Amino acid sequence: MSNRREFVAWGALAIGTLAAARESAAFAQGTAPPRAAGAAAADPLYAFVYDDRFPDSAAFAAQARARGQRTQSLDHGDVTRLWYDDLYHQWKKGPVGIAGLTTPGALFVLETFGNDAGLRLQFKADHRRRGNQVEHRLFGPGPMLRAALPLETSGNQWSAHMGRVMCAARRRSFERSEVRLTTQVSGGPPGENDYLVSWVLAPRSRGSMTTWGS
Amino acid sequence: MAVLPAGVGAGDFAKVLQEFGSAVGSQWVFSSPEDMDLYRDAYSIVWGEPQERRASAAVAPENVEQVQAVVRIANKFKVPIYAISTGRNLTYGGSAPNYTGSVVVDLKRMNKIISVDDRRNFAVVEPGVSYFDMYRHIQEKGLKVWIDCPDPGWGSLMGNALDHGIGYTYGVYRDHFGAHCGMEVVLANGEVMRTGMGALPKATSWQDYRYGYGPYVDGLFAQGNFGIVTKMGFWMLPQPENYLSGMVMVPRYRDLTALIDQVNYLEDSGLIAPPGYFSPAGGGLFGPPDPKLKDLMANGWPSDDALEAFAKNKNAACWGASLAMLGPAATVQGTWDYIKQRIGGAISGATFKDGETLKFPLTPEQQAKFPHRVAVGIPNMEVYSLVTRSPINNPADPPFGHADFTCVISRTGESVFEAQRAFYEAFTEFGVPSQIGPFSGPITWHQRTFIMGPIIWTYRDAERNKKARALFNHLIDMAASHGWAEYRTAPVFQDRLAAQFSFADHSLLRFTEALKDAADPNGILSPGRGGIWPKHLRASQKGRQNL
Repeated sequence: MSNRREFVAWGALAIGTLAAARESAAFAQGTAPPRAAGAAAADPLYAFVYDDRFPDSAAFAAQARARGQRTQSLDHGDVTRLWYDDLYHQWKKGPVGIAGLTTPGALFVLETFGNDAGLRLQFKADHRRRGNQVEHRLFGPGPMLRAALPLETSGNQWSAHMGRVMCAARRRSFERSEVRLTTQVSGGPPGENDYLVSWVLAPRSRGSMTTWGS
Repeated sequence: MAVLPAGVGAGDFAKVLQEFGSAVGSQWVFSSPEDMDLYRDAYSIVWGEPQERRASAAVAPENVEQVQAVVRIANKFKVPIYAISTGRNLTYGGSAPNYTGSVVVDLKRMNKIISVDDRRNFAVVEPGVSYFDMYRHIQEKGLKVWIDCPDPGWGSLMGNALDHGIGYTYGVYRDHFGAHCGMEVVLANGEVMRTGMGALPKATSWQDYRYGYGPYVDGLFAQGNFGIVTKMGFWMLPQPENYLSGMVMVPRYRDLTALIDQVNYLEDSGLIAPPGYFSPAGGGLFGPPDPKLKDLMANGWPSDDALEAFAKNKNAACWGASLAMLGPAATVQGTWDYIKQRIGGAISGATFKDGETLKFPLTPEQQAKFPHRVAVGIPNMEVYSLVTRSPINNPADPPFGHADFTCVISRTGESVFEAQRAFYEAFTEFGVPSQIGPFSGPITWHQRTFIMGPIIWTYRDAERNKKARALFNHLIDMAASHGWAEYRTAPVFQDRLAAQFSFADHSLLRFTEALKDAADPNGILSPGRGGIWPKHLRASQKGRQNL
């Protein structure tokens, strides 16, 4: 586990190519152009899932929409409609990745369904609101974690930044690093926004997928 | 490969996996750590500890012949195997085996709906068919039958029935094992057996008459380890025409006894779906704890008078029951009128609230608005969004899962009062706030069955889990001292639970052990499931009750 400083020093050596590092650094500085409809991602994401009971989740989805991504809201936090009417049919055809910013419970259900369809959790970040701070604990490929570093200065826009990170990321790697970051936020009671997770479920790897029931 | 079966070296196990691969296709044999993580119990109360039950590999056959081949290979190498259907079974062990090192036989690929008959109202399915699959099939084909499903709809009809799971419609259907009629089983020697009328080669009544001729053996395959069930028939509820609900409230604390007696009569007469008991004064199962109730209990268990005064101050009845009826419009209305007349005459001060009347099939808008869709046969995953936001759950520090203490008590008010106090005192003894108090009602479970008991939260934290296990074990013992026991529990508690059924020096367990030794001499099938260990493991494993 690393804090920001350790992660940057270690991650640059341990993870990723120079190109990926340049890309994520440019992205982190806001100089990389937004991608359209996942065009440049190695494996485009089928949908960005959000829970409109939570403003942070809605902001995440708005950012994804602004970058041309398809978004899907849960039904008061319930994944049934999304899975039964939509993902079930998509995953019968083959594993397609999805991303989201939801409660841990919704992720648990989607991850379990996704595992049966040949998907695996590629990236996960816990976002815990504690007073005027949001504590982030991120697990995933190095380039995604590096791209997430501006979370520390993103203030109330932290979830929108997570949307940008996920729109831009490549999805081939299941390598897993960890970093912890903190965002100072203002306004609004913590309430039920206390604990959200952002995540990417991606096809496990080419040629070795587990596709049940097809 | 992180785990090996006991007594099997890495080289030999590689040969086992190779043979499994030859039988089912090598792409359907899993042993990488990444794959095996999926067979851990996500809710485990022993997560990451030495006691956690871990599988060594998994194999996923596609048909009965492949299951037979897998069983024969397991026998040849004396490798333990553990069959799962869709492998959900969360709170009761997930996909993880009882015996570490077992190879999971994952039956998800066997997902054929073999038949659904809406003239005789039954279905025949393979293990990998989920409630969602069956519902989708019925909707797409326009069949006039309902499923009876548990709260999360992603589980297997067969898997749930074989763990004695339940649903929410009329008694005969919501006892999922009780609603089955006929099964096909791969035995420990690799032979295939059919039960009931299925054993008669030309019979067309396999799903009509369950007993066939001779001893009825189906019960051995539920919560047991005598075979791998590969097909099951289920009786299905013909699509009802209407739904009508209502509530009855009774004012006094001890009125619960009379209310239960009255509702027992209604349920046992086949007039109502499972009743839901609640306390308007004290809140429901997932209701927030009333701080005033805590004050009331500060000096010990309150008197009946104090509890009634508490309810009166809130202008609330002490107890209520929500009742639902399914059937023709005149029948359900007539039943509700009868209920009001019957209970109104038996319990003074009883009041009634008319509920919703719906005609089936529901419109999408009606479905969306219906508060508990499984009660009308619609599978969903809503429970995960409800529990996440439950006030009894700390949103800033949510647990990873839970181990439910679903404890069968007798179906009387006297038992409910006794259980309230016993659970409360057990929690108090452990210094843990009790989820059960003087306004906790029973939960209707199988037909003619009440359960009471708390939800024990589990974490990815060994210290917290250790305390939770100590409490859970204490509850098993405490319950048995009152004559109560869980109907189902996770593998880590199964030995302790089975040991409570000790009548005549554990004659029931000794009988099933004798059967096990005869039917599965190598002890390869799900060792330890239901507390039944094969002979060669009995001494070393059976005593591992104190976690």
